[in-house]
Amino acid sequence: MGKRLVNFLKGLEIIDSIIGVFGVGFILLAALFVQFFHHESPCPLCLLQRAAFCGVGLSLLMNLRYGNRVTHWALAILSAITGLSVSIRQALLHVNDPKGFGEAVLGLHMYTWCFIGFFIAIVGCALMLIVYPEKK
Amino acid sequence: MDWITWPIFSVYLLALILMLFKGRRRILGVKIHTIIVGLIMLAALGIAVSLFHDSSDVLKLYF
Repeated sequence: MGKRLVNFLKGLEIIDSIIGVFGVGFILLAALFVQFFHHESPCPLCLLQRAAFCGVGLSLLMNLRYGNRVTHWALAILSAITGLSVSIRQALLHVNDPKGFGEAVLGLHMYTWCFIGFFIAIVGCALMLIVYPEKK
Repeated sequence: MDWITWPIFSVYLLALILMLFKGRRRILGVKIHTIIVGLIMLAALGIAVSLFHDSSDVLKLYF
């Protein structure tokens, strides 16, 4: 039973990394969509958040390329923490401004969505570290 | 601060290109997998440094 469970989880780990990579890709494409079709140029802090998302995506891509390793999930968490810091910084910059910075998407500004995205990435990667056994 | 974002993206691009090779291959005695991990950590450090620089210099906040 235990071996079957381990095999099942090993099969799922690839799917989880694929979902993560596609999720990060979707977020970056959405940012580019807002930039080019809604004519909102990114500020330096937005660029840093995009860079952090690239870091999360590359770390998850390493899982697909080199296999599931603790190092890759930890790298994703590290990149997500840097991005989370930047998004908190930007949210605090505009927290007293009723209009905020830039266009709101579904009621929240882009930096708030980034905060949510990075938070989900951190929690998800931490759960993966708990669940998946590392290949020897 | 935005000048530092292009080096960060370049580092990520380099890591992505290195990912085409097998992780066990070595460049100057260092495994490619280790180099990629180092590059991503370097980029994370770049983000943290630029955030700190922006907070301390531009807004005159000193931690």
